[in-house]
Amino acid sequence: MVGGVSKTLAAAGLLTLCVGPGCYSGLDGDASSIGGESAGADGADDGADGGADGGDDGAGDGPDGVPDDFEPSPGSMRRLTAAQYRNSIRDVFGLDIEEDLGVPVDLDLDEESAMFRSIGASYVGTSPSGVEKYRDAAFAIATAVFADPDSQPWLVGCVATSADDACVRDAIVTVGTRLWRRPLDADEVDRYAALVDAPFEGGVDPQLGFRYAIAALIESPNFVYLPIVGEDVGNLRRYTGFEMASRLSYTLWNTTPDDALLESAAAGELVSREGVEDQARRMLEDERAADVLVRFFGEAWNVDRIAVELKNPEAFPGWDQALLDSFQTEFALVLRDHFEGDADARSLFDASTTWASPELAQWYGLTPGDPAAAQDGFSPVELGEQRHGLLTTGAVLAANSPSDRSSPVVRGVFVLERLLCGEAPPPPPDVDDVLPEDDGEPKSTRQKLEEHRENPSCASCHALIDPLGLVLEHYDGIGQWREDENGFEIDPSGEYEGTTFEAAEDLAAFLADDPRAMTCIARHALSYATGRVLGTQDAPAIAELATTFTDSDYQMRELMVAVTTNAAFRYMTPDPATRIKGEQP
Amino acid sequence: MNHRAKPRHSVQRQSLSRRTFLRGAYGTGAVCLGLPLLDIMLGDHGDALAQGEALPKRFGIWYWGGGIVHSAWVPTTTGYGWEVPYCLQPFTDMQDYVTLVTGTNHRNSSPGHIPARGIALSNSHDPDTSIEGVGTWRGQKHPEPSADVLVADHVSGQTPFSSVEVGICRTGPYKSNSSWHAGGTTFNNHEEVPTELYDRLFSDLGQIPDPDYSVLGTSRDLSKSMLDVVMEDAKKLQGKVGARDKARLEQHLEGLREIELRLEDFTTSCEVPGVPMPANYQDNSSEEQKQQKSELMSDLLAVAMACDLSRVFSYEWSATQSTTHYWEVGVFQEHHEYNHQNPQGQGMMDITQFIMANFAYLADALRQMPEGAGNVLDNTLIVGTSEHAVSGAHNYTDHPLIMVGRAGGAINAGLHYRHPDPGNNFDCPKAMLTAIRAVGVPLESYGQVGGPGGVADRVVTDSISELEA
Repeated sequence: MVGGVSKTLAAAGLLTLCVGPGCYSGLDGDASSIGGESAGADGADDGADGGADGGDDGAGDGPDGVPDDFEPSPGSMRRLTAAQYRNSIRDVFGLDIEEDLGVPVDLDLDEESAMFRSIGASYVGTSPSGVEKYRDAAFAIATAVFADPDSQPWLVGCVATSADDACVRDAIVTVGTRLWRRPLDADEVDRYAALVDAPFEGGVDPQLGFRYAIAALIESPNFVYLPIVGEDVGNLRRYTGFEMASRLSYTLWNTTPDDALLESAAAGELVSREGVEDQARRMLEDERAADVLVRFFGEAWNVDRIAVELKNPEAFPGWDQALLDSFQTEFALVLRDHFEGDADARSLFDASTTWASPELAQWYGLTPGDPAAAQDGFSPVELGEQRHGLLTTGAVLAANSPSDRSSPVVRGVFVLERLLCGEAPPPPPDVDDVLPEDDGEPKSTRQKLEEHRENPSCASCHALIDPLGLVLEHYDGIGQWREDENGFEIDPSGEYEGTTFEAAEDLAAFLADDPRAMTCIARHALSYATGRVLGTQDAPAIAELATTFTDSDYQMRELMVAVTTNAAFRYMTPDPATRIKGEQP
Repeated sequence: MNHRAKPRHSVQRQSLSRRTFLRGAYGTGAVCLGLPLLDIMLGDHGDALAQGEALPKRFGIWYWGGGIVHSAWVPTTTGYGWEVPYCLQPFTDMQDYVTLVTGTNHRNSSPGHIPARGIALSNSHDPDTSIEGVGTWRGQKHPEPSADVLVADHVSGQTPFSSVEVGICRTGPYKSNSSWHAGGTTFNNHEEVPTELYDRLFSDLGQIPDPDYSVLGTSRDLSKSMLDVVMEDAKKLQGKVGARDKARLEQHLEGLREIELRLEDFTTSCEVPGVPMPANYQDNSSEEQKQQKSELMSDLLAVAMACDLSRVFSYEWSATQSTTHYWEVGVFQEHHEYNHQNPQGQGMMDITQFIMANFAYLADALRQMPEGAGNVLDNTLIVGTSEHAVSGAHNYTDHPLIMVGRAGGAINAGLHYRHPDPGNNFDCPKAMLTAIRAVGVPLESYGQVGGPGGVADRVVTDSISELEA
């Protein structure tokens, strides 16, 4: 699926989006302004203060590597995503809520209206039914935990008799610290231990009360959310060590902090740039970091939103769950291999190999790879003349197409917005987008778009969008190669910003060469990590990240270190209060 | 009974859910509706409670994605006794419960499905780019609560559930997006599995204890103490975080308070029904058995309304920009794309009629529930609407708005009201305001004050008096 504008475009079809003639008129010939981040493209201007590289204070930087011109953004409490909830329970109790509990634990839906779930998690609220689901999950998890007491070290040999039992209090501290990712204060321990002595059927049942205490730790908003309080440092507000432990862990592992992170926080190491870097580097060696990278690109490039039912089976008879699964596996293996090999991110666009099962290779028309090198049945496969890098994989092409066809407009907007971080303009409020009558003449998609551009009010924008999608027209709506469309020979040629495209290979080369594509990845990474839609205040941070990314020969690992050590990730505005949505300013 | 399509592992642990346990305690079986025993609480005349209060009024939103076909929707005559158009034929035998509003429009600002949803259900839509969390212009949020939540906020605390949300067709990018709270960042979750709706409604009410209480959540005493601890956590957190997060925690606390209400104050004289799960029902993905699922959900919802478990519901037949396949009427292309290509054809008429048949089933289920001298539908008003009028053209002109029920006599049921100047008004929100007032909510205005982006104020303050009895 695609985001707002793209949905509008998809909804409107090929012929419907007309915008005013002024589209981009102020930006013509100034491509670097797209996305408002020209400073980041070459890094020459803002990299001079040296804050990006060394981790030490550079000239022009304040303490702890915070640039003098740093403008913080508000911090925001995140709600665990469904995946983070599941991962956290797995790590704390060794239980998989889906697989082990035997009953589904449905949680309030993740907010997906923004590009990254981390952004939605930063502002979503929980409905009454969602609150009930968290409660039911807590009951189910605690019930399972106590049904198998040998599985929990803190529970072995601990039979509660009163709220004062040392083992009960120890258990609350142990479980609470893991669940809430911070130490409990004395009042909290008292309040939870008191459940052991809580009224029950006219008396008390300490062991049963103990179970409810553990369930309550899981139900608590201290677990369900990542509260952000921070601590004042000069005129800035810094995430506390324990808040930073969670921030690092959910960003780099998508799960709760491990003991080493919590210990590092307790030792006061996570309030310095160096301490954060040490932990980030340790964490990036773990395979969970590769999983997160797959998720990151999956969200950034829409791949994680595609579902089997989103394609019309009549339009694509070959489309099924198995094909979609193989697309997803390919996408994940390419990125995992890329990350683990510290490869140059530019190769994401122009790589000459992919990973494929024999069936998928055949679907692509490629020679199957060496079975001896297979992972999950997928082997490295040489791409031929028709495919170039991740952009031409089935996953990316299918995810960025309507249900029953390819759409150069949808793909053009995808390339412009998601790969170059440019901005396709919204349809103005007065647009008349009623579908024009089809005159019944068979036409190629290209012909339809050309007719569309005869309308000057449509042309100015579509001239910018369409070539980026038309160049991919050899791939149909699920990414399969075709020589013609409805009997019309495919003509993928076009021109974008003076670069002539003859084939998808040219677009791949264009993206690999264009610093904006790399800066765009850096920008997405900062947005993903901070859980924010970025603003103008982030321009210096983006520039800094772009410089580091460039200097590292575009290694994703180095980018993620730079993101997590950046002041924008570690500091917030002194007053976390922000305007509440819908409140009158 | 495993009602999930996905196989589960670890059968050994299957009995560990409170809900599953409680459901097991009630036994299984075919649909067996509870008796609406409100009658025992009624006064002699059957039109008011024994305490002298009026019978409760219920309000529901019945929402579908994809709009209508005007030629098969708008009756040729106004007033009463209109000839029932093709799309509305499922309501033929309850025309005297239907109030049809046609010829009214919404104030447009942006043609897409998401703004349309906000405008149709809350008379608000905010493309403001400066709001934290919403970000770029593509963030399309609705600052005012949806109409069902407006009503629920007014009656909350009087029933165990402030509202009940049900979703049938789950395909498309925006499921569970048709009911939201003020601010537009908390969306109610539409329950999409009949047994889970059953569990939601009844698992806190029955409280049949597990013999040794090893299934947590079956002790009312301890559940209450646990809730106190968790609520205290939420309140303490509120004192530490910023204003926006404080409001989010308040939203969370509202959910906890509803649970508290159910645990402490609520007793029902209603009989808990059996689990409504026919053996041949498998499909929770809603493509194959959407009608059967809708009937199960409607039966449960009718019990919930009759038993006064809630007075408000949101029924999301299909989501905004729905991609449901209506194979039942011979359309095999998904709804949204099909709609764009054939917005006014016979296929769309058949789809719309099929959707209305499912709406009519719910209305009839409420009508079958006796209450006082009449039935529950007499004391209910359901507003049916969609995000667009002609969704294939993304427009709001002559917007569909169909009210079903009599709102305790406050609405002129049976009327076809057509605006005297169709196409040249922005009165559709006035119809929604009329419906909200008809169920006894004294709302002064409805919708957004100060429309963004140069759009005129959306807010309306007048009812459509012709609709009011």
